[in-house]
Amino acid sequence: MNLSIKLLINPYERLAGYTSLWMGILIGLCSIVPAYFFNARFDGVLDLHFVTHVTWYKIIVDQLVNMFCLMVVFSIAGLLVKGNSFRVIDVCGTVVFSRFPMIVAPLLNATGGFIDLQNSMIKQSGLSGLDTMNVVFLVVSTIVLLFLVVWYVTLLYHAYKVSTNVKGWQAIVSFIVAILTAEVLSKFLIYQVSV
Amino acid sequence: MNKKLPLQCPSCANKLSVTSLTCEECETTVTGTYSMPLLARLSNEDQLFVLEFLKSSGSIKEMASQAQVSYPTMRNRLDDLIDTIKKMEKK
Repeated sequence: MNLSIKLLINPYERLAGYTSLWMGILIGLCSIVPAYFFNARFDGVLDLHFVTHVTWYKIIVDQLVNMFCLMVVFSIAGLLVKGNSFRVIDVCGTVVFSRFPMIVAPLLNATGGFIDLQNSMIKQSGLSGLDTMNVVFLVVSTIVLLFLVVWYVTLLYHAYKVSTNVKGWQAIVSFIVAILTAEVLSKFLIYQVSV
Repeated sequence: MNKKLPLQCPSCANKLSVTSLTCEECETTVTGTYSMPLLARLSNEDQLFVLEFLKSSGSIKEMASQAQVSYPTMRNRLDDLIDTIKKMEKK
């Protein structure tokens, strides 16, 4: 595989530990800015929702809870499957860094297109009433979002695999359980703290 | 030419033993059946890894830095080697 493509999919063969943790935290903090200006909420480790109004408090809580849930859940998953044969800092650093594709996701709502789309779909009850521009916007943004989410989950999987050295079916099953647990936990915490 | 020590029988895939040793100076040859030590049965790549590990005083961090890979990548390489050795010991 081409080295640059390999680095985009699995940078953790070269990057882990504190370096990736600080970079991940920095990226997470940077993503607060576009999320605020384009009304995006990361209200769950796998979620992105566009709303009519957001506050700095809610966006910061979203990011902190997501990072916390990923670090805790994936570290526990690694400990349960592999014992203490890995460094928790590697899991924390790599899973937090994995969120970097999502930094650009709020830009999809740069023109407020998502809110317009939601309003027109609610008013005209469904997709049939959308004009051509809205349909094109919907298709393109769905493809872009899907690409970003797949990239993010792929990075997360490699982060977990490299930092814990879990292999085969154990890696796949424990990753699926961990990501679903992190999603549920983050949703619960975010709505407890910020709603 | 750097010849590669064959580790497996090309015919039945079982491990090979040494049956002859020769002194390069006087050409004396000793024959018999000697099993190869565990480290010699490792692949060339694994043997190089063990040597690097010893030379860096067992510091995975230093090895990772020299090979320009992350710490867990190097640590995983060591864990895999430990698994290989444990399997070989069981046989």
